[in-house]
Amino acid sequence: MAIDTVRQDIQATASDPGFWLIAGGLIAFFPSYFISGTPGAVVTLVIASLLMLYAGFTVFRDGWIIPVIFFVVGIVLQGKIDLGSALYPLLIITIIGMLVHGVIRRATSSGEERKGSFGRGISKAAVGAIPVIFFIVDVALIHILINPPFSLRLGSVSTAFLLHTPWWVYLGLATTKAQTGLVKFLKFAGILYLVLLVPFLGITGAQASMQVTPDFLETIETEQLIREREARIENPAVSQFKCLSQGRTLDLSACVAERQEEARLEHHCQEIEEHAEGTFAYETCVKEQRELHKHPDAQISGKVDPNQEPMKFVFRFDEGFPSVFSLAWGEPRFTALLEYEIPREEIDILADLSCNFTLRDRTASVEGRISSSNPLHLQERKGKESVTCEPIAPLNGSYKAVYAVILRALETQSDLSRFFIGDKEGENKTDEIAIIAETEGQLSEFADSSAAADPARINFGIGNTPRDPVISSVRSLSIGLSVENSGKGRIIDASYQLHLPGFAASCLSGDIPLTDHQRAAPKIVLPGCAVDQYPEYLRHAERYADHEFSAILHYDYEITAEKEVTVS
Amino acid sequence: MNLRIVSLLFLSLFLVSCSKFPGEDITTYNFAQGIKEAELRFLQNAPPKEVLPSADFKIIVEVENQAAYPLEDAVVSLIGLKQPLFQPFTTREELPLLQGRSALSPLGDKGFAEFDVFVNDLPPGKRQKEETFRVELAYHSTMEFVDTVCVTANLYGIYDSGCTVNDRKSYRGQGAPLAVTEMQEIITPSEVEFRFRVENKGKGKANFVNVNDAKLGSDELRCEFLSERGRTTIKLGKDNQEAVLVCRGIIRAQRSYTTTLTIGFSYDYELGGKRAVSVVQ
Repeated sequence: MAIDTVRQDIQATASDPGFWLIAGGLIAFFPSYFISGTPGAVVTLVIASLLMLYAGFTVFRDGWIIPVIFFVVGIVLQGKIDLGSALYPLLIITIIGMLVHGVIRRATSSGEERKGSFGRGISKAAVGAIPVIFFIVDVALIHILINPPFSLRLGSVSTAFLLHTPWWVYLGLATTKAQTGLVKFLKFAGILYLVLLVPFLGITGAQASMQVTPDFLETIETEQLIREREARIENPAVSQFKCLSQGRTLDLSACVAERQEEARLEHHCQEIEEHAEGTFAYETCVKEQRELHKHPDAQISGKVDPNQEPMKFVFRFDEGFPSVFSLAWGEPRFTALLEYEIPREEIDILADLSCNFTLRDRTASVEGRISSSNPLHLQERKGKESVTCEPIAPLNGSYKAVYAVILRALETQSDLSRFFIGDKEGENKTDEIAIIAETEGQLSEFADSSAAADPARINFGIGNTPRDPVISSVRSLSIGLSVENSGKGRIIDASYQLHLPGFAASCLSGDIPLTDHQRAAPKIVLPGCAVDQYPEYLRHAERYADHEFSAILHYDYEITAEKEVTVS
Repeated sequence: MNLRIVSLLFLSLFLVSCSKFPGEDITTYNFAQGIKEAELRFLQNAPPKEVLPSADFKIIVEVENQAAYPLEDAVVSLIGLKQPLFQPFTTREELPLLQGRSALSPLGDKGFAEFDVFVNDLPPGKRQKEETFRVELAYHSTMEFVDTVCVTANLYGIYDSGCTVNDRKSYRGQGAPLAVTEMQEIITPSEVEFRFRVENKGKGKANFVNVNDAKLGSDELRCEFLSERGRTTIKLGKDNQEAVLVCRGIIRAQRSYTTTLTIGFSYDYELGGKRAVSVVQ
């Protein structure tokens, strides 16, 4: 009897599409943390697409048409996740699809059923938007939230919340019709997990932190990067559980935030700064990071100046690239294009090219030889160069053709505005600051340095605190520095120079030693310093003096691209 | 011939009707009324909206004194021009004494401050940069409050065939940005007390306000600012551009009489304006 009940339960569960959505959601949730880069993005994209189509066809049955339209238009045609430019045309196509569904429904109905069949057809098609929404939420929610039009700045806990939520599982839990013990348990576990997570969903501030609008796969890669980074940080639900077990019920949210931040600092010092846990350097790093966290003013940030055209370098594989190469055609040769834009006055950038063929499982690789010009001198503002790679040993099978270029002697200038008010204090200082704000606009706009959206840039600040744009000579001055790698490559070598005429300080220029992790890290905080001396005319400015300073990052930058090839 | 005379008459009529002093002879028009102040204008195309790097451009500021009093020690300053992108040759220009409007000079004096600015190159890769700057006019000027008041030693306002005390009067200004906007008259057995609300009603900022002389008829009044006991000078705060002045004098007769009340003020004033210039590569 009991065996029969269990069998019935299993049968009921297995025949419920909602349950399989839960299972699929769980399967999709975990691998995304562990497969990095483009492969990870592809896996995420494939699983999310399958779940979207599965949900459309089985859970929402008649609503299959919208996921299919979204899949065909949005994925196959490489549409962009850009609410402004892509989703609106998609919306129109979707409405047309709904109307078509309504017409088909009306055409295939007869008699009494025909009455109202058009409207029913439309509304049933409309429920297909639900899997599409979950698809977007799963693959690109953070990207959408931090970019225009929302431009939200997500706190670390809310980022963790958004990334640690298995969205498809919850869609499955909400739609499952099975009432078996297993499903009840999963529902209970799902609610418990949400209870542990939800109190920490806090979205603060409003500031765009990404300026690029990458294509679909790049969007998911970005999301993937955040996910990989956050995977090493404690899950907020686990943090809360541990805080509760420590009896910190009165300051639960503070406790969770502390644990999250500590984990983030430890991760930074271990993985980015490459210090072994327990060493003096590691302890110092954690201490410094903690200080930076306590005093956000000391954290130097930068922003992109939209009026400055950025340098761009990218490998492209056009239609002529032979994905399948037959040895009968002769010696294998694969040509990619290096496209670049260098909107600068004096251009002479050396591009050092290299290539190899790596087996798909990455167990071995065959070195390649660049048979086109190498190194290249890039001297045009905009151009394309063919990069032909030939293997130096015979190939047979499926490989990834990996192209790399090290762009040498790149320079990116950052600018920073500061307002010197002399030795004014009290009411005079307040009045002068009010006049500056009235003339120049919101002072917070001047806190950070700005630069073109080049692959990398130096961020710098100078002031009574480095991010304060109004400088009083009554207090001492300090300089803060950081390097931001906003491209998709690695900084190979870097040095910087601050142009602060008449200023004396120990950090006005220097080489930037980089560990392997720091080369690809999105941000590296450099040691700042105090200003020992600065010009008298700024020190004793009668009325405010608006001064712009600049800093130049000199760097070599490596970008890579890969494409699958089969040689037989 | 007749047509010419008729045309001339119409033209005269048109000109008269366009006068700034409607219904009044310019020789008797009271310029010391209302809120009038110096006006600050940029001359057309100085600065131009767009300027080129590695070239000079001019900023010319016209100052027109619409007040009824002269502007002394007037200085025009150029503030907040971003350096080193802009290199002004000078940032401070002194203006000569600018007489106020009067029957002899009904339009008020004008002065010009001219600044030459060199534009350096834009940062590499930057095609355009818009920058905002400010010009400020600082000057010293005066203002005179004159009115006829009724003074009486009669505390209870019993009519004595003389005049009646108006214990609270409002004013629309004395032809300057600084204005006495209200006066209260308080009679005590031995003296008369006047309380004046002095306000900056102009577009700029008044700094130090000083009472130079105060007379009731030919008698000196003893004055002090209410918030600065015993002092005839006050510094007005940015957000509080008004003060109360208290002046006391003796009453010369038992019966009511009318007499002239005169208070002379001097003050420092600042007036500013901003402008944007785009540097285009």
